[in-house]
Amino acid sequence: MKEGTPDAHGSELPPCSLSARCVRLVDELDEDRTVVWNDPLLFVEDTRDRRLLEQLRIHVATCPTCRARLAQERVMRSRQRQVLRQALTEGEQEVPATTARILQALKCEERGQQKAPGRSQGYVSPVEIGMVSVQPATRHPTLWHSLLRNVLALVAVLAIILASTSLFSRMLPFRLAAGSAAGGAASMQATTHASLLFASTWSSVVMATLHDGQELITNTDPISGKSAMLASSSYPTDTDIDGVSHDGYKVLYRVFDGSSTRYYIQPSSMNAALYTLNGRGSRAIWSTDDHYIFIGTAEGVEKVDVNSHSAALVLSTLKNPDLRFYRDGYLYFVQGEDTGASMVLSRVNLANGSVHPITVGSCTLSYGFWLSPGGTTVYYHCKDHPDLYAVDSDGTHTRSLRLHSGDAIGYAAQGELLTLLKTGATYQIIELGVDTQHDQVVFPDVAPGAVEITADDIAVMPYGQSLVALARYADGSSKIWYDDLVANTQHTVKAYIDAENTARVQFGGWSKLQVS
Amino acid sequence: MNAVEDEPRLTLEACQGSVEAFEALVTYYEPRIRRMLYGLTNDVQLTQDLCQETFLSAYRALPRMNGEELRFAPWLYRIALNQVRSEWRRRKHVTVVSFSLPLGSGDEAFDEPGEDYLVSEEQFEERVVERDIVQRVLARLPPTSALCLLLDAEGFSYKEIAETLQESLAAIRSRLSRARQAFQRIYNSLDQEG
Repeated sequence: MKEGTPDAHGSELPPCSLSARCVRLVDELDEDRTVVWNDPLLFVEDTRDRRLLEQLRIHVATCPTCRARLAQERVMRSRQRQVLRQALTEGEQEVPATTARILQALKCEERGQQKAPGRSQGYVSPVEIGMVSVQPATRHPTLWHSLLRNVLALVAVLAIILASTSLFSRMLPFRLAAGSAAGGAASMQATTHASLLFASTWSSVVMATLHDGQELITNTDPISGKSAMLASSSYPTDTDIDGVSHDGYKVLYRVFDGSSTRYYIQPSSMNAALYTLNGRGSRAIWSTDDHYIFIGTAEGVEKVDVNSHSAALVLSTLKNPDLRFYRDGYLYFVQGEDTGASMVLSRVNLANGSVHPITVGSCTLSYGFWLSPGGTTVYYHCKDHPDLYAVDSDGTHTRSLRLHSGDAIGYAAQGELLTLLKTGATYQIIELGVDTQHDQVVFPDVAPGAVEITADDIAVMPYGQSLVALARYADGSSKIWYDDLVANTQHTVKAYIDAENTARVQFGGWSKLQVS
Repeated sequence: MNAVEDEPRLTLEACQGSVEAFEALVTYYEPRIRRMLYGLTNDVQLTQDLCQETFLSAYRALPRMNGEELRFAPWLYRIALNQVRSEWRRRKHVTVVSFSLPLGSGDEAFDEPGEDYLVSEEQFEERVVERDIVQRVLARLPPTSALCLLLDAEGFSYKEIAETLQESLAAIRSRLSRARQAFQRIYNSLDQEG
């Protein structure tokens, strides 16, 4: 699909300020993709476009520059559609049909059976995830698999010795043997023999990135750019960081290998999974004191002791809950499906199992939930409404907090909500005050030139001193930015990541594991 | 976009609990949803999983929908997009891009192939290379923009794309225009890299 059309910019035609608008409305100008302009659902900007289109129709007839640009655009559009249709057709042929599988699952649902065909049946047996990235190139169990287990066992012994040494002093470095993993990526920023200190301040960001087909979970200091690897996984599309503990020293993540989900904590002196369940597991959450994690399972909610690894079923009435927060004896979870019908945050009292909906007062499809640092307020958005809502954590006193305030991303030093707001071409960080008059812009441009940043792409440091953000650009590239919200400075962060995979960054939150 | 014959009736009946009606919709839309998902993920296994979950989610949600007003195709594509977004959020932008070498680029020897064979082989290689580049371009675009391009290529009208993405027509127009320019820039860049 080589571009061989003449460039209207480079020709001798005079420039025209309306050319870009003509290009934007090329489909309507061609009249083969007409829209129903009297549609009652038209937005204000659609009405503006209708007027613009009428003007352009008259203008194009007398403007050779715009006619040339439109001709060029039509050729490009035609070629793109052609190659995309070709790609779609070939893609359809490459992926085996799922109709039979869907119909079988429907029949199972009809009969109320639980044996619907499961996900990812094509996966093969699991490979242990390691504290170091010594992973085979294949997922099939081979002789290499046995060798891997021996290596991991040796590493585990070394780690135990090192960990036992660090027990005598919390500030002694907890050494991670990242050398073998980083050896294949010497040009990357990640350190090959990094040490981690249990520091007293939040200094690093836990992130997962894709590199050479492996999902690497690293702890990165965004100021120095130094990284230490915490773990790697041979299941890059099925590895998720569930969160950093409240004390900032432990990272919880999970790996689905096609048949079971294993939950791990790093850094750890042991390479064993904290908990394993059959099938695809959902997000686990930390207890407030970091002694336990809660996991939603088909049997109910399991409470797992992170030290002894012992698990207890604490709630059998709630099956497969999508857990979000834990606070003061209550588990907050989401009910509903992502189908556009309903999604509600509820909470369950672990003492008696009583469930109470929290966000049902204002809308049936809510999302973007944040629990305030004190645990008293839940912030959320409603689909199809630009408002930011707040509700007391017991489900009372629902109120619309702001209109067009952006998406919540974290909290400032005194617990004020921080939001990401796109204003014009820039993304700003807003700190919400007691009312709209006291709202203030705390950072004017999160990532200069970025065309897309989402709330999920930002990790705000506890107490809101700084943040990291994954920004996407018009040319398809991505960058990670570090913004100091106090000093009002910023720079890009080099990460342990393939150049072509910068869009695949998963932020797990900030840690107090200092990279040295 | 061509819809299945008598889609409104099938949709209404499916909302009222007719499995047969829903199966007819599955039969018609499964290949379309499958190839769209594959265009967005470039992952065979994930595509199959998301495809199944899209239809099961639709099936579970249908009883709660107004069958007389529901426009099935945009709604179904929206569910599929939500599935991708959920995966996207869950994995925080982990998608798979194939960077495998084009077929035939190795040292495979042929037994003195005839001229016609060489011509067709070259065409085949060219198509494979182009397909690889297209996949890589789509993977580099924001997912919503990639979906916009794919829906446009499928023949969706602006109104249908706007309905699927729940955005204004003007927003879709701008997004599609930007996506086309970005697609071309990235494509040319990758093509020059060889």
